Amino acid sequence: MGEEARYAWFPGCWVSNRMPYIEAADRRLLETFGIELVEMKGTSCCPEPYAVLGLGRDAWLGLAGRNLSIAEEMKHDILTPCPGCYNTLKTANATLRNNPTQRQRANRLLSKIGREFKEEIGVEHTVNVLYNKIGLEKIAGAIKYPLSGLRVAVHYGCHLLKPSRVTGIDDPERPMVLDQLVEVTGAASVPYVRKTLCCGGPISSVDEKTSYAIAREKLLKVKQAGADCLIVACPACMIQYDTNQRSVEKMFSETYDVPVLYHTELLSLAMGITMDEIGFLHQVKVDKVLERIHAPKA
Amino acid sequence: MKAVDKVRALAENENYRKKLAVCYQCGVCTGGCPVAYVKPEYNPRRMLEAIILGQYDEILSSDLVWLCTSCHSCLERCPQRIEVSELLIELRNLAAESGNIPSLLLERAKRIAETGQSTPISRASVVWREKLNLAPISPANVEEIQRILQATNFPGWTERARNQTNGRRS
Repeated sequence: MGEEARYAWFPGCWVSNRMPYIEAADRRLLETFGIELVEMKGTSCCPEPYAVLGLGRDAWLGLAGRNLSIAEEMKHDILTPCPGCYNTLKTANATLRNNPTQRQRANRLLSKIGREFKEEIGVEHTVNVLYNKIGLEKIAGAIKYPLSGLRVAVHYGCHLLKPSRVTGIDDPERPMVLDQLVEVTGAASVPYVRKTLCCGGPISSVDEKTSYAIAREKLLKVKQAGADCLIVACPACMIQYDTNQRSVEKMFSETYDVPVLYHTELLSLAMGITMDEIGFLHQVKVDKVLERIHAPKA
Repeated sequence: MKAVDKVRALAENENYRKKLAVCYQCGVCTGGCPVAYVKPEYNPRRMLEAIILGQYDEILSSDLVWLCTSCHSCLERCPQRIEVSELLIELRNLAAESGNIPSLLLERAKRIAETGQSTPISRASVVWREKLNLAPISPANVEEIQRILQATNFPGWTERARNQTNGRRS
């Protein structure tokens, strides 16, 4: 959709309801760069791949097609901060565009509610817009409190990158975009083992022990690397590493104490947006990180 | 058609047969699998082998099919370009059809059928959003969503409808 700096905003169930501080950070941040986010009305869950796609592909494609059709009516591309929503909506958009049989099936469903998929919009993730639309140069110019000295472990998560034929954001095995978005703040992205490991979150409701064992593997490696914090780009990874970190510690009788921040929280702080404006609430204390940031603590 | 016959049909489908026929059991899928790393009895290579050998019942009745996180590492790394994680989604659909659905997942599916959202809007979040000057969450159009779920026989919908009928009787 060319140069238009206006998007249909799709925060997704988790960000809007469980982590509104991510939405607050994204809004402040994107507004600063002249990007307008327009509310979508009546959308549903994207729907999520585990409990919906896993149980029925037709239902999944129908609901995703419906969400896409709402943005089509608004005539804006969708922008979401959630890689899960990004992956679902982008995959569904590509399937409906390229597979005539699937499109016909989905449109037969959508016609029951007076809707139609018309192939008119695209789907973006915040990382995409920051990196490709706004660009590192412009972001560098907006940094007020450089985070020099801060050592950050960058975690990409899966659905931002894979399947790469769908997401097209970066190399799935050697990604760099998020590292660059972190380093533009002046912080250092530290090398560590198991950087592209899955957080294990999707299976926590089916097999908690296995899910937490996968999270443990990452948290141990981040701790070993001596990072001050872990940066994520996904609300599900945030829940797994932050909200569940104490439970993982308890399960394995270990202590990690790894503060976790969403990538736009870090960027917001470096740009001088105050904690009060974002209002974040984390399970693992982020004080150690904030002490290194000379932004006003409001 | 029974679910097990559908897996057979899937495995014998020209498209999949061609794809699976090139699997040389190298195990790259398993080597990069985050679940297999911590739980050795979960083994994507072995699942492909079971399909190739026609052991469909084993796949459908097992809990293991629900342990894939859809991280898609296997899909990216397979030297033969078999989309293992996508195939596992097909298998989960068939397992669901045969009644093999983990109970907490079914609960979440019911919640989505009920409210349109995977996490219901909480009072705490309403206050929190207000404090952050964020607009209230626009509720999902449940009527439209339920018509789609009903038309596709989505398990979360059919289960919810069944519970309601039972509730009225008792």
